[in-house]
Amino acid sequence: MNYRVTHTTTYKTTNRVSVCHNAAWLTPRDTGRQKVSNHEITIKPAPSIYSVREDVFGNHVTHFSLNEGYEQLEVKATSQVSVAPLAPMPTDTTPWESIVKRIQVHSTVADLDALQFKFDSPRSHYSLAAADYARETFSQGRPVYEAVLELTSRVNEDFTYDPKATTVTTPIAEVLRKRRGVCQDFAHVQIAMLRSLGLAARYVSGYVRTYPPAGKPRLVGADASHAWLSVYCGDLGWIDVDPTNDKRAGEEHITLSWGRDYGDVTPLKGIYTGGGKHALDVSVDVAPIETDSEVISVAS
Amino acid sequence: MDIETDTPASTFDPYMPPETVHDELRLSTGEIRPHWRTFAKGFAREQQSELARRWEHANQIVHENGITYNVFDEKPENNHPWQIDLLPYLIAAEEWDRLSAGIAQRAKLLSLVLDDLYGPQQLLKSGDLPPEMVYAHPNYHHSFHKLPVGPERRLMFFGCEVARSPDGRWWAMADRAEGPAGAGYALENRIVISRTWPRLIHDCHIRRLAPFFMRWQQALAELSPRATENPRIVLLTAGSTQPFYFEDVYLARYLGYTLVEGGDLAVRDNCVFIKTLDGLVQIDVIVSRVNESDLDPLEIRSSNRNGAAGLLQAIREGNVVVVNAPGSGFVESPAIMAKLPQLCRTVLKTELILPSIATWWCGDESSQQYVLDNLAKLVIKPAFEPSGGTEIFGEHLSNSEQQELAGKIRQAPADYVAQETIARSASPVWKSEGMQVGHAALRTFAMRHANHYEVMPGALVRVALSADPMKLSISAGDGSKDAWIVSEKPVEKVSLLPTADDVPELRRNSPQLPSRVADNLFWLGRHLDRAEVSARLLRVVIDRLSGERDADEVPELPALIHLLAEGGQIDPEYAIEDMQGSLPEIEQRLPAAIFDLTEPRSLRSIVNEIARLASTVRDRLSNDTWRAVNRIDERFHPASPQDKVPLDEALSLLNQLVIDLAVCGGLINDGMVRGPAWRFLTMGRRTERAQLTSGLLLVLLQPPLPSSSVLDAVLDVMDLQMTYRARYLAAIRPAPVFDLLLVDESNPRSLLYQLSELQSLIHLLPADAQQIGLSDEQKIVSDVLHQLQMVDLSKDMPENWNTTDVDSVNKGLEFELNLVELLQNQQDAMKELTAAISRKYLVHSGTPRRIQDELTRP
Repeated sequence: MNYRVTHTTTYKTTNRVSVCHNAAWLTPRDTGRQKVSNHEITIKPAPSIYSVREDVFGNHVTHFSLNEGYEQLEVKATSQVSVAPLAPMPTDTTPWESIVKRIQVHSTVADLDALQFKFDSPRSHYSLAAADYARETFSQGRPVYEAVLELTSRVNEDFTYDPKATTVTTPIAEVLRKRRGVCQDFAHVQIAMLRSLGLAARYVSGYVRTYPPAGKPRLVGADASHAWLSVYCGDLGWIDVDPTNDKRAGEEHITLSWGRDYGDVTPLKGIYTGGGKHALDVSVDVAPIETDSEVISVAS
Repeated sequence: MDIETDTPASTFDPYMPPETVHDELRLSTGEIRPHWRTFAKGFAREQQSELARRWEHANQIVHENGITYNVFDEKPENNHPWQIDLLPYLIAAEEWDRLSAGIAQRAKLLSLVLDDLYGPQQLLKSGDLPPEMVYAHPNYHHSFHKLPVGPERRLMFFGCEVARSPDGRWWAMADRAEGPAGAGYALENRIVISRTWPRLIHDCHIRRLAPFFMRWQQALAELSPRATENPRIVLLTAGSTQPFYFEDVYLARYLGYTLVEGGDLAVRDNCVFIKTLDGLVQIDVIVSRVNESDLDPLEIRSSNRNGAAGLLQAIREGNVVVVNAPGSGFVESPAIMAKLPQLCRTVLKTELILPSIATWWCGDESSQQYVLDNLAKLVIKPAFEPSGGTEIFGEHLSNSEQQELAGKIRQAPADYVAQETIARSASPVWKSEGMQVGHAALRTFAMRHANHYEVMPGALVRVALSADPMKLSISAGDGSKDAWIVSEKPVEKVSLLPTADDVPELRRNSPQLPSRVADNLFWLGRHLDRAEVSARLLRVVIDRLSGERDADEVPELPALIHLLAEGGQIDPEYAIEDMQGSLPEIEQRLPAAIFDLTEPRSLRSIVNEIARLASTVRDRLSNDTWRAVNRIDERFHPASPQDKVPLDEALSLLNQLVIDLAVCGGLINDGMVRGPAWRFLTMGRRTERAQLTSGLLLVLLQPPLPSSSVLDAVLDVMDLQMTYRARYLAAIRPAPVFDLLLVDESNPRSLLYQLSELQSLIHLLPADAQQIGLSDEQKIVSDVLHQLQMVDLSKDMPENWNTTDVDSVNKGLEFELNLVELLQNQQDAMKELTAAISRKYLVHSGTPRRIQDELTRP
């Protein structure tokens, strides 16, 4: 499937912002199933400094600063991405304990790379409650793939989507207790559960295609950024699952970047001075590109 | 008499260390070790009383210079001065050279380990550095990956804590890499002890410290990314409330670097600048003494404001160098000591010269078992905190506590290390009652210079009189010694004088004045003058109260109390006549109010604020001025309990304070170079003095008009009795008093004097290039000054205040109204002036805020 994704962040202030330093994780990365054909970040007003680097996880980070003073900042990322469908998965996969063992021994490059996602990170760390929750599914010898999917379904079932229940800094212990939150919380909670078992899990930041209600046109800009997680499954590689939607992340998921948790791949971070009162607006548009119509337009 | 050494055998009595530790002073035969002999001989010649005097003197210097871990901290236990021992710690040069080789090797090894960790990570792949040790480390930050740091350049300065076991071998007890502390204390100890033993320090041929620091300066200058002759180097401190602030100030001054805090830095276009009075000035090298996780709040969340947003990107772009390189703190964790022998073999293809104290990281299964089996003999520590924080001594634990600890270790083995305890060597410590056995550990230092590590020929020696295992943090309050590296031959004289090639260019300007420092100087000036005027006023009141007259026989008392109340020196209720009956006697209440710390405007609170502000600008004050400030702070404490201070004690403390403040003011006036620092300090003093004087005049102008006894008291407060008597030889009249206070240009306490001084000071402030005509500040001051100059007391002031003549009364009222208006204008103008100065010079930016938290979430 091909998409054109537009992610616009607008920041309005009542007084001038004198200086602002930013780092953005807004560039989709190439993966086994995802190919980025076109990508651009435009910033208004024009930044005084703009550079791109690769972080330690291989994500593209855009650094930019403004120091001429402004009252409105617009950061617009547009990307053209094609995502391949999921390959079928063998039903009979290795028991989860053998994956834990592999990570512990880390004798291959892939295992060593996975190892870093086994440890606590600032927003997703070991807890007894998380481990207990996960153990109900991860019984002895259970195939890893099957167990991961069941855990995803349980989180989806037991946790209520409620944007008012948490904020960006709510600790996962509280999310676990309240069983409420948004996709970011669900991802952090499930990551903590898997890590508590000794598995490696990473946080994935991106977008998901949404469908308008039957008979209604698609609303431009009504989408949102999204988050899910990825679990290391040994020879099967990394499996992406989306607890918010209870499914594997497939053709409808567009990956931006991954890290240990949200803090590593926050779409837009900034430190600014000045500004007075401020208002923030984020609009995301995930537009499927109809290849057919393009063919027609070329032909005519 | 010891024939060999000419030293009486009793010289070091009753120093007699147990046989279970290494004796630094004597051989096993009982003879004094050869490298001690010259010192012992000289020492034996001194009388006991002379030694006591020297000890007193040395510790007096330490005290006066404020060598404390924390110059200003609300908790007095953090503010204890260093106690320095009369006897140095002596090491023979050959032995020191062997030890130095081991320290330099550790510095090099750890630097290379860091190069790999934040680069290719081969050591993780090979398993020499267990990945678990890295990924579980809370201070392993991936933002520090691939920063452009030259090979082996991560640790430009390195500290290593060493001690000797009973067999005389040296062991490393801790490695320090994140802004290692202690070298400044070592320098200060050297200065104090060389004054104590001026001849012996020469006779013993000891190696000097200064050349080490000179070469370090060179090494830092060479790191500058800009090819400039005078790279700008700053020392970044975490501020005056931090334990090592004294040392930050000391080193910055010693090395000639500007001392900055995070708030002084600004990043623009990937370059780093200091915000100064003249605008932004680019810097090249930052010697960091703050936690590396605070360096860049954009990339690593931090609740402190010790760094600057965008700093890491500036490093990545190669526009600034931070030493030690961010990420260095990783090697401070004791866990890495367990892996160091293997790392040394892999990285340097050799064995460690200076081994670490035996360390077991419980993340290794076999080590974990050993630790659990031997818990009672070991020290257990968190694996990833720098040594010196939490330390659990197994032997101190009860059985059940041991079980509990073992359980914790089994649950998260990688989080724990265990180390052997070490019996440190013994060295004599001088006490007036006789020599004691001190147990010593040395904090040594190395720096990177000309492609190798050079070790400082000296150390910070900490001694404890107890043989218990010593805390590794240097803020654990033990005594201290200077370390002497004793050579057989005289040391080669390294001249500290610059050679002919590098005669410095003559300069009239000092290093950049950060805006924050200017701000603190301004407020220091204000508080100094506020303290002085308050002290004088209190003194006059107490003088009136302690005379033989009863309070109701002193007609000036209500006006004086009104003034005290205005200044926050006493409850405002005392100024209301009807209420006085219901309040405790003012004689009792007043002394308590002076020392009341809960009242922010009490005199003692003002003095506290002086001490605090002075400590934040300490690098801008001369040593004498600093001592004078210290004295103000130290001496202004009553011996009696705060609520029972008798009037005469309060009076003598006030007298002393007035003199102490005058000493401080004199040093500022006579000694301080007339640069921007002096200007801001003096502007603060003038502004405050103007405010207080007009405030006093406004109180005097409230009806009823001042009687001669009130005017008499005012002359006392302003210290103008002598002048008045000399001029007028007559009874005290309002017009001459108002003249003296208001418009007498020759009186340095008059209002006019303050304003004309302010005018010339403001004239010298850095001007805005685009400014046409007068600046806002100039306009504000000139305007009030002009109004004041137009006052003509001889014409406008009524001759007789207390009269029934209608014309005179009207004239008096008109004069009074005009003057009150003028003074109120002046008071407002001073507030405006403070705001204008702070807008233009002091506030370069508001509080930084974070976008991320305000984003709507996925």
